[in-house]
Amino acid sequence: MSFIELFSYVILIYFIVMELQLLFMSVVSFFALRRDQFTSMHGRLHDMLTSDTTPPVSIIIPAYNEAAGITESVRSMAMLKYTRKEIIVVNDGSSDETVQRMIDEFRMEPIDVPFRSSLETQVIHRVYKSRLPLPIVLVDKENGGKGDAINAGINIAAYPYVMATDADMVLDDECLLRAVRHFVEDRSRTIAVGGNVRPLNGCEVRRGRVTNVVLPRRPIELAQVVEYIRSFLSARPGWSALGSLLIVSGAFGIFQKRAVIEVGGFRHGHLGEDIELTMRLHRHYRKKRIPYRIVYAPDAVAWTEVPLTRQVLRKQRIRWHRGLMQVIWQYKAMLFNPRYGIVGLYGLPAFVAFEFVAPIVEFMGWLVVPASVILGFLNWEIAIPLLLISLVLGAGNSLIGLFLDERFGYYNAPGDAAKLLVYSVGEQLGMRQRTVWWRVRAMFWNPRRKTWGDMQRTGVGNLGAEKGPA
Amino acid sequence: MSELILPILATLGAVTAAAGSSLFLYKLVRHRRERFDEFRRASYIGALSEMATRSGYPLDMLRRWSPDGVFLETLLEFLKFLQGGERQNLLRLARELGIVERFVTELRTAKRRNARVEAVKALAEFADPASADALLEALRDPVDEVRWQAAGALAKIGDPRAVRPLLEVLQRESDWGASRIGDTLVAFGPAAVPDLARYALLSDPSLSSTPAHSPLIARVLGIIGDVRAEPAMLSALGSADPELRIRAAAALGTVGSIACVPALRRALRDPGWEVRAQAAAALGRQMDGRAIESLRESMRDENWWVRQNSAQALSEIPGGVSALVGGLEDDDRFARDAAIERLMAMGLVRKAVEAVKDGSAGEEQRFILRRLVVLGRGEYLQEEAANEKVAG
Amino acid sequence: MNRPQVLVAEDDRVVSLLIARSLEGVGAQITTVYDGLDALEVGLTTDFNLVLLDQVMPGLLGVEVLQRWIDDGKDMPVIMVSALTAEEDIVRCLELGAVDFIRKPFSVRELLARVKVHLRAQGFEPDIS
Repeated sequence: MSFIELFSYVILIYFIVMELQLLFMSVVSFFALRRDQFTSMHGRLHDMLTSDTTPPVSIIIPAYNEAAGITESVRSMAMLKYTRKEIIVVNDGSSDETVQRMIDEFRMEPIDVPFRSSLETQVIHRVYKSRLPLPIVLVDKENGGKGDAINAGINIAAYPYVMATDADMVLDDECLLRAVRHFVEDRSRTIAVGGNVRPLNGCEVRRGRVTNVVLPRRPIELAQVVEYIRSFLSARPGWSALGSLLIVSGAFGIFQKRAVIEVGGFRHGHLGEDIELTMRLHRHYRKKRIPYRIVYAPDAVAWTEVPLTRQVLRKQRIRWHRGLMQVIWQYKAMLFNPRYGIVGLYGLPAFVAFEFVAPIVEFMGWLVVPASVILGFLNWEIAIPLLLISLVLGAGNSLIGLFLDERFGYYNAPGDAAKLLVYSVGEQLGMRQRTVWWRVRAMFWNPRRKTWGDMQRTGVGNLGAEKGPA
Repeated sequence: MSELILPILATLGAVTAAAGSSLFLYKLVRHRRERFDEFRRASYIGALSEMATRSGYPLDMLRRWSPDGVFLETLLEFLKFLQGGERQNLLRLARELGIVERFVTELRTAKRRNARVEAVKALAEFADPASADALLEALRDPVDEVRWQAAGALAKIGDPRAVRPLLEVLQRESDWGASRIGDTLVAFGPAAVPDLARYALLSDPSLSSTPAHSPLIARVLGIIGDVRAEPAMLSALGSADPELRIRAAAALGTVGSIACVPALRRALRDPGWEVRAQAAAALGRQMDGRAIESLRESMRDENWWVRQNSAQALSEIPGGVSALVGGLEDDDRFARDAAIERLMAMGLVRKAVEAVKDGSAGEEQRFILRRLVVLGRGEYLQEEAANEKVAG
Repeated sequence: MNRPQVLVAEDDRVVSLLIARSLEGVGAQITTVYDGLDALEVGLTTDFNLVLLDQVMPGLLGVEVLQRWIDDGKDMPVIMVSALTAEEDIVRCLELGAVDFIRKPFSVRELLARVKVHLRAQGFEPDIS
């Protein structure tokens, strides 16, 4: 057996192992979702609205040049079904009218509030509060990036839980209630809850709420819908159930304020601020051996615009992958360290093997395997079926995602259902290879060098998904 | 080798294809069904809003509708936001259609936990006293959600007989279950106070073991805010359980009369800072001038929350504000900071600045500003002045 | 005598329908809107004898609508309807200029009684049905 032959088989086996691992997570997710569904349907969601034990939440919206949409966004937050909440808009040194718009629309007045700078941030110029009977607070501060803005919001927040979100997220009415349910159920241990982020493209939106869920038309958006479903339904519930959820989205995540302050808040100038914070929480609590939970709430849904064009999508994916590499580099000491429990032994290694290494192996695979088949190094009767098995397994994983998504009852129109099915199979050829190529491109960059590239231009922009130009 | 791989591939392919097509069919069927449901719901909404606002309804038509799940859903939806006469109309209707009995039977006999929860949730909406016995039985259901929802339903019916069985159940619940039952107990309101107070006093002979979750009960009593709970809370304030003392101090803020002020003043010297902080807040709610001296003392406490709460309490007590202003001259740095923060949050500093600007400042306002400058907290005033220059 | 003009601004269609039905029974002429911006607009162009204003509405929140009417010199009796139950919020709504505050969930009979009080104050004699 020649070297190249062996190499090809290793790659093919790797493909299959990767898909089998995803399959395993889907199975775990299935059971996690089924257990969750009972409490989600019958639990005390609606009684929480009248209960005195429901903890109040501070909603933090970092805003950088958001004058156009900030007031609509605040209104849609104010309409969220919840008992006690305050909405803190943190103006991150915008050069536009963000502050003036807020003052005019909500009659904000400067106030003196005593607050403790538990987290270090850029200078806070002034704090405003609405004169209307609305719990709206505006923090005007020096520019420092999204994480810095959220940190400032945390300093001002009056309540024990904070929700970090983006001005351009479209939230479901009950998403906050559904996410906080996890804190209420296990108050002493739960430190963070991540929500389910879905692509907004194509949906009908009226006055800050999704009124009708429809699939987008363009292939590039459709492929992302399938991708989001797979990631948010067949992977995250499983990781959450195993106690190794490594990402709580900064675009829609709820944190125990005390825990975030204890680990030092969001780190500035990081490409993957939200993953980084989640990892830091894991490390802190594992190290100190304090029991904790970081949970994913599939029924708490928020919608976000995903990139419409190839260029924007490429930039986004490259940025994500660089953020991921940065985090892995930073937390490499946790790898295979039994001290960090399942996070160190399974979560992070799987993350490295199937998120970080995968593109390299896949990239080589798509070059080497066809070449060696053509050149006759490889027995095509074995190689091609092996490749097909991994592709079919991949399609199967996407399908499982769709099955798990059934409990939400979206995309039921016959046309939408057919399109979703076609794309979940078709994504295996084309979209997948393109993402691999971008991720390989992303690697030609040194994580320790302090040049953030496109970071500068995005400012406080949406980490979860950058807005398309259209 | 390929003999092994090809069958695997074929099986996987077949399974995937079968799964895909069945998912498609399922979605199709559901799409049709949902549209049909939506259509019926619209007509039910119209009919029910008619029936709620007027009395008298076509019973035979309703008989035909009542087995329909969508009809029941719509009815329950209506009951959620209706009260008073309209609610009674719909409840009478539900009784005549035998809907309540149907859910009672379901709760007693259903094997599936989903069915039992659905039934108990529906019964909670109807809150029909006829279902109380079945709900009391459901407090022993193995599924916790059923137990908790049954407790909620009993609270809605408002039968105080249910309080004792609930306290029995409470003994065996986890923290989360206990907190949910606590919410339920709040819903019983003042009618539950005698039983709860006895429980919290740890002196109920009918309860077999030491009551678990008594801090929770103290909290519940605080929320209900009935003065009959005061003796129980006063004795709980002397308990050895720090958690119970915290809750008792907090509860005295709402259930206490002025008779509890001396005990709360003593609690300002409790070893637990949370007890001290709650006692300070409770004294603020009592608005009794006797507490001013002790609260001034507590502004020097080692804990930030205690200082904060004491300062806030002083600002609420008549005559307390001048004591708070006096805090600006305290020897203790932390006491001074607490006073400054409170005066700023009250807006007094801003008012004083404005008063000085238009020359109407009184002696106390001048004093506040003078002290702020002396204490090195003048940066705020300078910023004000700078803004004034820019604007003017 | 004219029929009293009542504006019902409530985004929940079922609740809105229910209120409208029962107010018609009192002989009032009802205008319904489901959106804060629509409420603001009809309120600026028409003089209503009474407004039932939901606090949580898309477009503009109830108190914002109220504030803008006041800024514009519109002086209509407004009853705020809200699920907010914090005493503080109720007090601030009334201080802002609302004439009454009704908590959700409400009894339609109580709502009607309150509506009648405010209409009677303007000289209408709503028939009791």
